[in-house]
Formats: sequence, C-alpha cells, structure tokens
Amino acid sequence: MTKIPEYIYRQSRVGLFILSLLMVFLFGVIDTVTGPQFSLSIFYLIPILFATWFIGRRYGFIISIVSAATWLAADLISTGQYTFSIVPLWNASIRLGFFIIISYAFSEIKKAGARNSLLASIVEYSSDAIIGVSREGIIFSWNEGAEQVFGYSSSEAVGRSANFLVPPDRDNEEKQFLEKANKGEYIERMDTVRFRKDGTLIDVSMSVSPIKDESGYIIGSSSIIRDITSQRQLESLKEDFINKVSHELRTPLTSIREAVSQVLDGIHGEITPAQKEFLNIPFQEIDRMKRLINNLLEVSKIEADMIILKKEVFDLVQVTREIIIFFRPQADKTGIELRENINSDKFEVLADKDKIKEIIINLVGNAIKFTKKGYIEISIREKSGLIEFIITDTGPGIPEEELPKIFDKFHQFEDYEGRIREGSGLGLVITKDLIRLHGGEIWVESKINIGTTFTFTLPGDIKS
Amino acid sequence: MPKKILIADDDTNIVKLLAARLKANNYDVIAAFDGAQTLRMAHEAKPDLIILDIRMPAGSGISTYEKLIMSSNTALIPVIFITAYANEEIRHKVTELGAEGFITKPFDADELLGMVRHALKEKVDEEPGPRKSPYWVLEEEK
Repeated sequence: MTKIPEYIYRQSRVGLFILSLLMVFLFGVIDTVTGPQFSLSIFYLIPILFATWFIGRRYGFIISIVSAATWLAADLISTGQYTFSIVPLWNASIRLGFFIIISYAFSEIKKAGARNSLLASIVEYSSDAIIGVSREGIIFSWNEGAEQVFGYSSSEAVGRSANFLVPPDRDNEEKQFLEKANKGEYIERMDTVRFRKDGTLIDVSMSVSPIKDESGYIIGSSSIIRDITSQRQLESLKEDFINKVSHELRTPLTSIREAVSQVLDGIHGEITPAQKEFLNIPFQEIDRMKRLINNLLEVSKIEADMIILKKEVFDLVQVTREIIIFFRPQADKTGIELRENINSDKFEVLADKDKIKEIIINLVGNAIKFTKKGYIEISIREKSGLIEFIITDTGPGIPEEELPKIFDKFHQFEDYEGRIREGSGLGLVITKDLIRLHGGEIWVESKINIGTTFTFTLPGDIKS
Repeated sequence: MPKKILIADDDTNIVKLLAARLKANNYDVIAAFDGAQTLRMAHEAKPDLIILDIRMPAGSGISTYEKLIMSSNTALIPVIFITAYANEEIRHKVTELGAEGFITKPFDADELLGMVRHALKEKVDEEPGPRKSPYWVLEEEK
C-alpha cells in the first residue's frame, strides 16, 4: 500500500489551521467595516485571491475555484445590515469552514486517485504477470507482465476463462485455485506449468490471493505469475555440471586406487615391506581425496538445492547403536570409553535414514578423532516435542573465539598445540545443512581442556 | 569350474584392473566395451554375473539392463552396477528395477568382492540378505 508521508499531512493541517484563524479575524474586521456585500473592492478581493492561490497551489486549480465559489456564494445570499457585532465573525468562520472542508475533501479524493493510479501503474508495469479473475473464473484484468509472459494481449485475454492457459493434464488446478481463493485462502508460490500463446510450455511460480471489496466480500482472486523457465534451465545446467565434474574426478581416481590396491595386495607379485610402506602413502591420500570429492559434491548439491530427503520412520536408537558398534574398535584402540546414555529403547523419527546416519557418523567421528583420553557419550532425549541428540567428549575443546566459525566452509582450526587439524573443513558444514534440511538445529558448547558437546535436534512428531 | 563374469565398461583401465582383481579371486572374466557388445556377449557367453557400467557408448548401462531383463535368456543373470555418478536417483532406479547391487567408483575391492560373492550365492562371512530378483520372477515363484 502506498503511504503518504506523515509530515506532509501535519504540515498542511497546521498551516490551514493558522491561516483560517488569521482569515476569520481579518475578514470579520473587513465585513464589519464594509457590511454584507459582493464587491470588487481591494479589501474583498485580496483575501479571496490569496486563499484561492493558497488552495490552488496546494490542491490544484479545480479545488481552488470551487472553494472560492462557495465563499462568494455565502456573500451573495446574505443581505442587509449586521444587527450584532459577532455576526461578521460568525459568517467569516462559516465561510472558512466550508472552504476548508471542501478543499480537504477534494484533496483526499485527489490523494486517493494518485494512490490508485500509482498502484495501477505498479501493477501494470510489473514484469510478473498479474491477473485478476472473477469468482466465476473469468479474467477481468491482465497487465503488461501477463502480456509478456503469456504472449496474449489484454484484449485477447480479458473476458476468457482463466482455464485457457492450463495444460490439459493440470486441468483441475485452476479450479482448485479458484475454490481456495473464493474461500478466502491464499496459495503461496506454487511451481507449475502453463501454456504460452505460441504453444510452448513454461515453468511458472504462482501465488493466488483473494480480492475483497470494502465490505470484505470476496469478489475474485488475483494471481501473480513469474516465469521461471530460464531459472530452471540454469539450475539443471548447474546440476549437470556438478554431476559431470564428480564423474570426471572419480573415474581416474578409481583406476589409481585399484591399481595401487592390487600391487599392495600382492596380486601382481610379492612386494617388499618397504615397498608396501611407501605404496600405502598414495593409497591413504587417494582415500582422503575421495572423501574430499564426496564432501565437495555434497556441499554443491546442498547449495544447488539438489538434495531430496527420502523420509521414512525409523528407530534412532537402533541406528545409533549400530554406529557405536562401528566406532568401538577405533575407540578401544585410542583407549577411550564410547558409551551411550539413552533412557528409552526406541526413539522413532521421520527422517532420511542415510542422511541421519551421515550426520551421526560425522559428529562421532570428529569426537573420536580429537579425543585422546576420557570418554565420548552419546545421549538421546526428548525435550518439548523435539528429539535432542547430544555428543559429549572429553577432548581438547575448541577455543571460544573459534566456536562461531566452526560451521563455516573450509574452516579448519588449530588445536592448542598449534597444529592444523586434518580434514576437508566441510564435514560440519554438511552436517549443519543436513540438519537444517530436516528442520532441526545444531549447536556446540566447549571448554578448553574439558571437552566439547555437540547437540542437534530433530522434529519429534512421530512418537513410539 | 570357475564362475564367468562379464565386465562391461568403456574405460579400458577399469576393465583391466577389474579383470585382474577377479582373476586373482578365481573367476573367469570376459569383457565388453559398449552396450551393444554387452548384450551380444550376455546372449552368447551366458555369464554368471554382469558388472555393468552406467555410462557407456551404444546403449547406457540402464538401457542395456532393461534389454537384458526383457529377454528370457538373460533375465536371470544377476547384475551389479558400477558407476562414478554418485546420483542417488540412479541408485534407487536400478535397485527398483531389480539390480543385484550398486557400487560407486572409486570402489573398495573388498566391498566389490563381497557383492560379487553374494550375487553368485557363494559362501560369505556375513548373513546374506534377501535376494532381489526382477519383480515378475518373484511373482512366478509364488
């Protein structure tokens, strides 16, 4: 909605008020001296001309003429002499009252008109198609954006049923929109497909909202439709690119890894312990590179909105216990205790099982990597309708100034001995994004030399 | 008698390496380098298992697989897909079609061999899962 700035109102009202007080006094005095009359004397014409000019400047030519005419009319109908000395002042205030009321009413009409034409021009020149449809589904308004998006001119489209843009396989869609809008409901940015005049199909994103008259009765609906075809093409190009790059990176890596692995396994003849030791270096580095490529791919996919969660109901406790079993040998090797603190036997969640596994493996893996003594504890609990998953370790801790940065891309922090920790710097980014996609949150608390606690939440709508 | 495995991949290095790995584990190996050749060899040589790359010239892995399961001669040959595409949609598609396994490159030799043994119903250390066959085979067995 257009809003006329407050100060313009205030300025005009204060000005009018002071002016009218002055005029009541001035004209009262003039009227007392001259008596009721309609004359062309300078005393009479100057104030009228002044007021007409003032009003005209502020509200326009027509308004000022009409106001001046009412002023003159008051004089034309009053005749004879004043009996009481208050009468001229009274007359003057009545006149001015009319003057102000008329000019104010006109100015409001003019402002409303300006507002409407401003709104109309915003609608008209919007690059999005904005279409007005009656309750019965007949198009009654069609802006320039609609002409560009659909190729039909306003005269071709107005009066037709809104159905003529809908492809046959989505026949019911417009009817549903209409029903919803007629009930006063809104449809927010729905992606769908529509026909253009030239017969091509375009991807559009559309929002539909009811149009109400002053009494609140729904007289139709307005649809705002944006052509997202080129946006879609760009997205699919990006998707292709990511898939292609990952394919091209993985293919040579496969051969390198397998060749090294076969020599290491002795398939092509015995190798000496020294050869084995040195071939293990590329072998491990290839695995690191493989992890990096996988992580990069995943980050790009998340950023390109290519991740589609395959949600199912599963038991979080069982998944967690499997992961604990998987990590146990590694924990035993370092000499740390890997324990669980789960009160319930079952915590059912509706989520993408593979992604949740990835999140937990990532967080527990990090804890195992950094914790050299003490324990790692995994707890799951329910708190105000959410499922909280908590991983606490007694590792070196994260410095306070690093804490806000640990979910940043490529952030690798030094431990307290000043060594840069290995890793791609992408694990926590992916973890955070995957949790966010599930509608959860993750946060971290940490104290140097005491330990770190990562907590993430998942919506717990599904309960056992 | 050693089981015969058909490797279908247009990357000769991969074929060479896979062949070496499988031969070292006492399998017979034959190779095809495109979709059409894979179909021909599957019909002629009757392998016990096919390891199929998804991106190949003259018929992608998926279209080749669809042709394989349409023919009664080859429908029952288990197929393991191997691909450098880490696309989950492809994985879901081929498992739905009834593929025996799906491995992404770079693969781990132990993982691959485990899957091969499982597909050939050889003895494996772990408990074998339910066999995923093409859907009409499941119906016939009922």
